[in-house]
Amino acid sequence: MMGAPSQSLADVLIHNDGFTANNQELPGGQSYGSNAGSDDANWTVSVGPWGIVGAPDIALFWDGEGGGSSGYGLDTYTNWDGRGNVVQLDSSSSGGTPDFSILFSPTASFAVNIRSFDLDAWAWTGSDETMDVDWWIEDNDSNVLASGQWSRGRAGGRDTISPDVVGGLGQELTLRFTRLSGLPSYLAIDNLTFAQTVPEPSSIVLLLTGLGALAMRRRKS
Amino acid sequence: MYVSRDQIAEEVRAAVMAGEIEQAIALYEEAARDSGRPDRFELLAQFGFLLWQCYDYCRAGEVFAELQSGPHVDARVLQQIASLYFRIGRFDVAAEVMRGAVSRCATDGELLFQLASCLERCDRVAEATETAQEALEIDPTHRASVRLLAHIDKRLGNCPLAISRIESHLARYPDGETWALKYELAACLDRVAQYDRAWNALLEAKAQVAAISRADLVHSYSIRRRQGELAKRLTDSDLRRWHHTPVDDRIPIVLLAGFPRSGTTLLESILTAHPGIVGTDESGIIASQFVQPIVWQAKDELDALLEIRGLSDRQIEIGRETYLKYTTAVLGQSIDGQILVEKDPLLTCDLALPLRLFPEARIVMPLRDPRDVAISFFFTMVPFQWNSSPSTSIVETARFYHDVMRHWLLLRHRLPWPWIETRYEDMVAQPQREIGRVTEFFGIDFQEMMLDPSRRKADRMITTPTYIDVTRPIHRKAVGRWKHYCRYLEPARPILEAWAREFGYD
Repeated sequence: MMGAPSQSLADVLIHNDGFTANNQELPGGQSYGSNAGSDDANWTVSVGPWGIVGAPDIALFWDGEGGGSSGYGLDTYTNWDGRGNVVQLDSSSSGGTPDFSILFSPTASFAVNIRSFDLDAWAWTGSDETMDVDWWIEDNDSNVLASGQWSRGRAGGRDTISPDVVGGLGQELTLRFTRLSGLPSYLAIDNLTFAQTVPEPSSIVLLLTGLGALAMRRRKS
Repeated sequence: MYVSRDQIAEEVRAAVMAGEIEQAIALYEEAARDSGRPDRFELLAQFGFLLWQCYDYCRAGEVFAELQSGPHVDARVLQQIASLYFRIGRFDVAAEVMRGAVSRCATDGELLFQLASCLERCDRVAEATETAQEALEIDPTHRASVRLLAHIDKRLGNCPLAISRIESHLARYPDGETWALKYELAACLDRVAQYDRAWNALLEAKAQVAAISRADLVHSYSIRRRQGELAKRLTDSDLRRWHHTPVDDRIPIVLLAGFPRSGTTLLESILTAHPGIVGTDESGIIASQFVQPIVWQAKDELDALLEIRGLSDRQIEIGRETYLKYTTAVLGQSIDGQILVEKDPLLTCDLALPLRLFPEARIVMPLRDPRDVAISFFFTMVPFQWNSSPSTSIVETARFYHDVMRHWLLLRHRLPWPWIETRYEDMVAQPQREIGRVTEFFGIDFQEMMLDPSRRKADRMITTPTYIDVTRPIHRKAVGRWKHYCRYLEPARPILEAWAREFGYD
């Protein structure tokens, strides 16, 4: 379900600043950024209004069709084209239109809010082909909750994309990317921001109607 | 024409849903007065329960008395009636009703245990012990009776016996839901300074209830979210306007908020030992009768705020009258010019509506070292309600503290209502001075009798978990208790220490 952005959430910003080398497997492997309840070399967390620090109840799973040093197409990269550290969507060993994904799995008590991420293309020479990427967020039933297409020319560069999608309680969401065109190994993601949020009370069954409120409301009518 | 009980129940339900409470009562009353009906006593019980829900305790009591005198009334119905009296602190009445239940079924261990619980709360400790032991003779596996006996041991200062009692029972009957016993074990181990063992016992108890409490924790977050969003929308103009709402009869009401386990029960108990003060001991009337339907059940926080803003002066008067009627019923006495202390620690996060209803209110905000609060909350609360489910872990406890107390930070310097903060640590260190500050804030004199624990005990029943502690002489043992659990607090420290700094507890 796509909802209005929740307010004042406890955010996690995965900035990747702790990477020390290129083309390494992500720290922690495919669960990189999971259960981020405190600051780390690669992410920062904030305290939300409900006292939640970061997103301790949300697990992540990073995946890709293959390639890169990790074998699943997602590697570390430092100082990416002069713009700091990133997660490289490295599909050098796979052809076609490679897919990458990040699965967000909140526990039953919470929901995930995928707020924003940066897509970044390293500048290239030669080919006039643009870097085109489809991105979308889907739930477990493959319902698309947000989507878009991102393009960059030879000069490369980055853009922030802010889908701000909120899932339901305990609902898994997946952020997916398909590189439609452009050079393999020239695509990266950075500054993934997400939050752990809590449900609306209207989704909870509250049984008793207070007699005090009833007395006041009857006076109005 | 004969109308079946199911049909009557359906008509009553429809009347309640339509807000026709008097009609609903009349429906039951008429049916229950038909002495020719074979199901008359069942109807009478339903009639009494409805009256009770409407805070008409006087008429409900008459109906229940009639039921008790009837030989055919089931022991379980009497058990339900006793539990109603127990909840409002009428332990003596609850004990008598339970005696009636036991007399109908003397071999039921659960009924005997409940009678023992009522007797213990009436300070009839020897009778309570004997009755709990009878329950165990009938059912040696009955954990609640073991827990009660251990609780009595602890109360009498014999924690080693309590520990031994629980541990031997757990060794003999290790299976099933042992969490309640482990809660008690943790409390006893804490009392004898075996802190690591206490913590481990508590964690074992929490692990057993984690799955059950998950839904309550979800509920908790949803309510806290609503509370937070409503508070953020309150404007200074709202507060000023509400504070100037004209009211016909001023009610000398004090909103005693805070956070659970901040010493609010002790404070209320000391205050209400003053002959000019009466307290509600967490009747929950504001929350259940006003906040829940208007704030929590609203479509969103804006709808809730619009309803609160839109209340007419006449509606406010009706709300105040209703509140007073219900509160008087719960207290079993009229307020008669006394200062009314409306104690509910969690009013802190739902202040908008009580402030709207009571422009003349004063606010007392008890503070205590947040680390001590968290430890006490974690040890005491059983996570089966929205407001106790955060006790499932120390981190959730700290989050809950944050959620509640942030309301106070947001509001305190914007409130046109008079308010005062009072520290638990000051209250136990220099009670006369600190209580004197509070009574001065109320505009009355401090009286020596307020510090007399026997007076606190004699005057009233206390329904909250700390009922024994507040009737003891004031002591400082609970100050700095968190230091015994320092390493276990580690995951919650970022939150709790920020609040400790905020409230000057560095």
